[in-house]
Amino acid sequence: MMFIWNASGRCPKGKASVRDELKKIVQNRLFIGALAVCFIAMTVMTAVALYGYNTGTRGRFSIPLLKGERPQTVFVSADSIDGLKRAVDDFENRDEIYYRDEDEMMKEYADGGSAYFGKYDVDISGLIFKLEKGEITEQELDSIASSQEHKAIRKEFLPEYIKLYWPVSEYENIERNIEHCEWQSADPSVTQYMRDYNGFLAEKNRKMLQTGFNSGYDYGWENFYGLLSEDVGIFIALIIIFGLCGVFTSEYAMSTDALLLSGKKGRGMLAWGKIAASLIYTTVCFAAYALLALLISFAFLGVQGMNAGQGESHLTKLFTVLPYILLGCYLLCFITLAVSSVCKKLITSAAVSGFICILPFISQMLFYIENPYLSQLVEVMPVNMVFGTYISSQRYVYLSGSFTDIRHFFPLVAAAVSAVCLPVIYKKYTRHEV
Amino acid sequence: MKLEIDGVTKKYREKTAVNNLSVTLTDGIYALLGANGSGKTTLMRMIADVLQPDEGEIRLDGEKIQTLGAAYRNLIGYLPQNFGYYKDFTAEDFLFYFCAVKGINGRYRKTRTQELLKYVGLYNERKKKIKAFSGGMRQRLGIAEAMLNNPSVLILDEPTAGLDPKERLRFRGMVAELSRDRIIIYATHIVSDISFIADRVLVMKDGGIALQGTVKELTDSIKGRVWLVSAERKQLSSFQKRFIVGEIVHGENNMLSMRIVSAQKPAENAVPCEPDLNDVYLECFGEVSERESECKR
Repeated sequence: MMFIWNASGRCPKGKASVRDELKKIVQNRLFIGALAVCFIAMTVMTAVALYGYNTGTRGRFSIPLLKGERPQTVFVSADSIDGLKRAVDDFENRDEIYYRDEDEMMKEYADGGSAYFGKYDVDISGLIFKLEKGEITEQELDSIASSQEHKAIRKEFLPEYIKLYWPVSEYENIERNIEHCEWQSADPSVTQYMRDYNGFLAEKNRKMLQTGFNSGYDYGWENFYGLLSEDVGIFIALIIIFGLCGVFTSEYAMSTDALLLSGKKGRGMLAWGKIAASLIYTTVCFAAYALLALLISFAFLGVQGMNAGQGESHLTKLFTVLPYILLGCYLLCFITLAVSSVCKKLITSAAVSGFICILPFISQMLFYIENPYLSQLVEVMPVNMVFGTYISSQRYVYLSGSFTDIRHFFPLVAAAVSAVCLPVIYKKYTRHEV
Repeated sequence: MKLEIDGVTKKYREKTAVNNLSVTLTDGIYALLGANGSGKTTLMRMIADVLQPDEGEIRLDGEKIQTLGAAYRNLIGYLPQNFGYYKDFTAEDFLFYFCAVKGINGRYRKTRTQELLKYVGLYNERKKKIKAFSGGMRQRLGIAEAMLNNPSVLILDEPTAGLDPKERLRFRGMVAELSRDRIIIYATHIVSDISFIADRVLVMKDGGIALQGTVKELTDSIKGRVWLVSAERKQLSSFQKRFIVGEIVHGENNMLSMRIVSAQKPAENAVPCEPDLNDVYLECFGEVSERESECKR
């Protein structure tokens, strides 16, 4: 027979096929289904967001109000705020029909006309009612009616208003925020943690005003970060868990383990091959997830405003968030593989890895954890890395009275998870007995 | 090449599957014969290095197989009982994958895969998914997988389970051809599979080796204790109660002819006959092997 060789002749050396391992993972049809669900969820969420932007229930101004205007991004800082405020005054002063005489305004209103503040409309009917009931005085009514909070810009001036007022308004919001935080940090009735936290936030905001920030229209980016959050992130976590829970377990369950483990490269090399294939699968899932979020969101809402954003620009934030999400996906991959290397039944493997990976998310959602340390421990868990909101919203970890950016802890968590999971995967599989 | 199994014991909780078993194997076909639960599969797994013995050790040319590690696994081919397969892989992909697992790469991988697919008669089916294969085709694919690295130690655990008589015969021929310059360990409880091809037979019982020798040595050991008896059909149960009854051939007029293993002459009309391996098995286990049971029906 042509295939019978001399038994002393050895076969050439080779390496385990990562491609075939990947093929085995992808043959799990759950992967395709879950990705389809993810796509549908993202599309629906974006469509809902678009509806919200159109009807004015989401965003500062509804898209029809903007009349196709996309306010340019403006740099705002303590140095530039005075100039911006002057521009607002000029804008108001240029209004020739701007009624400064409050008596005249009241007269017009009493004659059945609308209260008109030049560029502003204001609804003071409730206040008049209060005045009639004697709940407020006339002076109080004047003061309230002319205050900024009760004014609504007239539609025809909106694009210009946004360009001028939006940056000033954001600046003033931060100033008010600082004031609130300072007040909270001095309040003896709140916990030390809350005092420290508010003090930290006040300081952070002060620095931001000093260094400046970009203000502008960024609905597409807002939606994109919304998609990279728990709502959709849970799907990517599940795609990884369900895709990888069978990497080792299915070999045990299908009795292919004996064939593999008796092969020359069927232990160490194959274990690494399986890990490599799982990492490739995870990367592909992550890329599909990020790309879908990006494309769907921007297809609906456009790409304007990448350089806007408080603290850091959206583009910078994107490059910061995505690597952490990828890191979180890799850690979920390691945890799932470790569980898979231990469990002999597919259902057990899926349930256990699902439970371990998603437990922090569930505990955050369902239980209010009062202890700040415990709560923060839950926050730095790998699944929360997958949920980009933990990174994009700039969370902080409270340690020894000071606050550190949550991102600094993720590499430590990654090192710890890898240090535990990789040896478990390797040892449990290579020492597995049939 | 010498494979020494030295005082090997394996326990599963209370049950001792293999009990202090020692045997030395050199080139040739070794038939490991035994009833279900006699410890064959456990022993095969330990030889295949996928199960660690609790006591004792297995050595290849004086080196512990655990110490040899990958070098040892490069020398073995293992076809487990009820082995799994990847249902969405084609036969060719399956062998390609196991080429990688066995460290076979490059152009040689394709050549070797094609050779083996032709040899096991699956070349024309190479692009078909394994889930479309019959039990026999899967078993043949398993043989091809075990042979990929041209093993010096080939471990076949119940390889003909689920095969039809034609496939079984074909398989037997294949194994006989492979025996040159290698150790083949062929575990089965079907005597006819190995009676013509085994160089030595090891009969396992209760985790140990109850009998061992060549087919001739074993059959000679029961010479004069195998009888052919003709009797009425109604007498069968009476014989079965008193003797180990083997093959039964039903004749006309409610008569039958049976093979009995007994030191004493079982009946007046009993005629001594030439013993075969099945009679050895029967004497050892006091039961009829599966293959023979099928023959009777």
